[in-house]
Amino acid sequence: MQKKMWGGWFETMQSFSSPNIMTPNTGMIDQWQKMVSQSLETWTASADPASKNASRQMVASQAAMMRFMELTISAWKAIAPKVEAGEDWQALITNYTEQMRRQMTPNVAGMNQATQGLNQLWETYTSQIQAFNRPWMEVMQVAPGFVGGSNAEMLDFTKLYWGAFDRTFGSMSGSPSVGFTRELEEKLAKGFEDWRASRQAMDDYQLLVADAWAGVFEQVMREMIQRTEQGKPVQSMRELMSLWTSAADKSFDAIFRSPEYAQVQGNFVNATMQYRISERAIVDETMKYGHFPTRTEMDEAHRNIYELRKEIKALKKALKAKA
Amino acid sequence: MQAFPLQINPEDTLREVTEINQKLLGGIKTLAGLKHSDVQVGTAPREAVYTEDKITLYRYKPVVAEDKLFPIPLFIVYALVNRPAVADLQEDRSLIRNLVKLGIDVYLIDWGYPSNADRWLTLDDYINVYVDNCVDFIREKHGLDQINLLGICQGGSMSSCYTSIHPEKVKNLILMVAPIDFHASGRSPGLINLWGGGINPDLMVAGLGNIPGDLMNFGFLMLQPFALMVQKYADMIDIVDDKAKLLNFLRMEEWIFDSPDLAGEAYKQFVKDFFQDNKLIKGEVVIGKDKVNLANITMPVLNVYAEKDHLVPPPSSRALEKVVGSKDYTDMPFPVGHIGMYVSGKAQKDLAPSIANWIKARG
Repeated sequence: MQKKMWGGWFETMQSFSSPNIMTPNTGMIDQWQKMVSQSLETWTASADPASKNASRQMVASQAAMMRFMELTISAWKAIAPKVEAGEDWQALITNYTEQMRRQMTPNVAGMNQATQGLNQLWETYTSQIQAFNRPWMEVMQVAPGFVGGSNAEMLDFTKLYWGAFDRTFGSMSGSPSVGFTRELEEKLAKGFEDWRASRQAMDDYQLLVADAWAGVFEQVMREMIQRTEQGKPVQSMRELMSLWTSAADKSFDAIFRSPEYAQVQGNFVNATMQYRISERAIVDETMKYGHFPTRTEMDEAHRNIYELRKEIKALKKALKAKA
Repeated sequence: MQAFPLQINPEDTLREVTEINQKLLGGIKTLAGLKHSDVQVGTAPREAVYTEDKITLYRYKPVVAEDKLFPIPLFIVYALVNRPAVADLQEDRSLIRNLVKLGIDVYLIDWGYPSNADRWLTLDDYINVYVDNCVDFIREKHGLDQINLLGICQGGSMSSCYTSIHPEKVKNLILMVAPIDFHASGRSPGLINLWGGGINPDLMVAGLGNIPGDLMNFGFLMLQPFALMVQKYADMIDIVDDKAKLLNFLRMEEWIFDSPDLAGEAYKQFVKDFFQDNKLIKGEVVIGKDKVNLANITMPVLNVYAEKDHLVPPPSSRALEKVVGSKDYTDMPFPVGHIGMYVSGKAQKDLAPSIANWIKARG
């Protein structure tokens, strides 16, 4: 019965494989997207930003539609012969999804595992720290207030970072930091810890999303079967796209409503913010070094102005009421 | 024999791709020819009558004779999130224009775009200073003790607070898709409420200062990521050769992505007190020195909500009935979603007349 049910599908599959007929595939989609994007950039060079953005999104969505088509066809190509051989399609879809899940999740988990070594982590961290400092450094180099105004000071500063690493993480015993770089060292150390925590939280979040994404695929496959059983097989790319959208939003919604998601997402946001606070403390130090006002100082100034303005408004209102 | 689940004929696919290409290229040409003025929103004729810091109070130009104008103005308080232009997207999709046509004298507060200098603004500033000063301005201008207040979405929560603190200045209170009980869920709890519980607003504000509008927007898109980020634009291909529909679409895009940042302190208080601790319905919110007691709202109340609202679930709005002190309370459901309240045909036809008639019936 099952074999009979799947029997007619192979003809269709074979036609997809025919060399004379072009169906969407990665190469074709890439080429198509490149061509359309070029036209888009040329024609919309001076267009209204809202129109330009919508055009880009429209092109990207059409490409996504083709990619979903490609993904779906290749999945069925992998599954169909086994069904033909008499295997249970429900179990096959579950297994196929599980394989996808396994393929996707190590990519995320592996990122963290691959950089577990403290030195390697520190290297990544400092390269990021230097990257986000770069725009300020460039400004400082040409600014009249910058000490020396040459690259030498920049190099010294970079050495200071590495020196701070040696002095902090080289001896992670927790002994109190000393010397004129103490504050920077402490901030770098705190930044490193927060950065590591934020990466971990991001990995946890991505694992959950990757899991949800694998669930989307399973949902699409099952809905396709259901539609076929109801005599309403998918007949166009647009229909397939709608099916993906409906399945994806259902699957994501189920995950999004779970307490686990709220917790993992919350951890991710909070850890990222904690790191941003540490990052700012380091940037503040950099700014001070170049005789620039810091974000913290600006906030303080804004707060004072705000409070004074509020006081004046209240006084004016009270005077008006008395008059 | 059972059909294959994917009955897409490769030749048809090729044809479909070719058609998409043709439409896409034609659409891009059309889009490229559009000017910013073609997709401008919030264009109903109006005049800035009062400004303070970054806020502006607008009065919409009446289109009926002075003696036909309803004597008690309606002051609209929109949310701090997104821009109030959604209430006036275009000529034929505009709650504001519809109210003006019905002889309502409409005022609207525009919060502007907070910068880092506004990071310390609190809800007290927004409610007891900006809203209150605008209300006083309108009262003085019209020689009235009381005016009508319409609070939309978060602006509805804020208007409830304002009215409970200054009930003597509000003749009638109208709320539209306004969250009151932030933990009321009904059958489908709002995702924003669920997610709001997991974040630490103190950290967010310490880390970011003001909360970027783009971040808020991303959160809204994540409520239905595929439908809002992929499918919507895939469907756009169907309207690219219809200029009127395309412009409607683009005006909505213009509004969605015109997202002001949120003043840090005000955001912090709103998330903690309203979303996380649900203090509004419990009578525990404190704005400045004033405790908000919704039982102080004794004037007539019209509560308009959207039955299919995924952002503010109907039970969240309807909870107001149990806590207000008003004996003249009216629930008014509309069979639309949150945004449908502004753009759906049903809302266009019925919303403004319903509000105007309700106001006029109460003098």
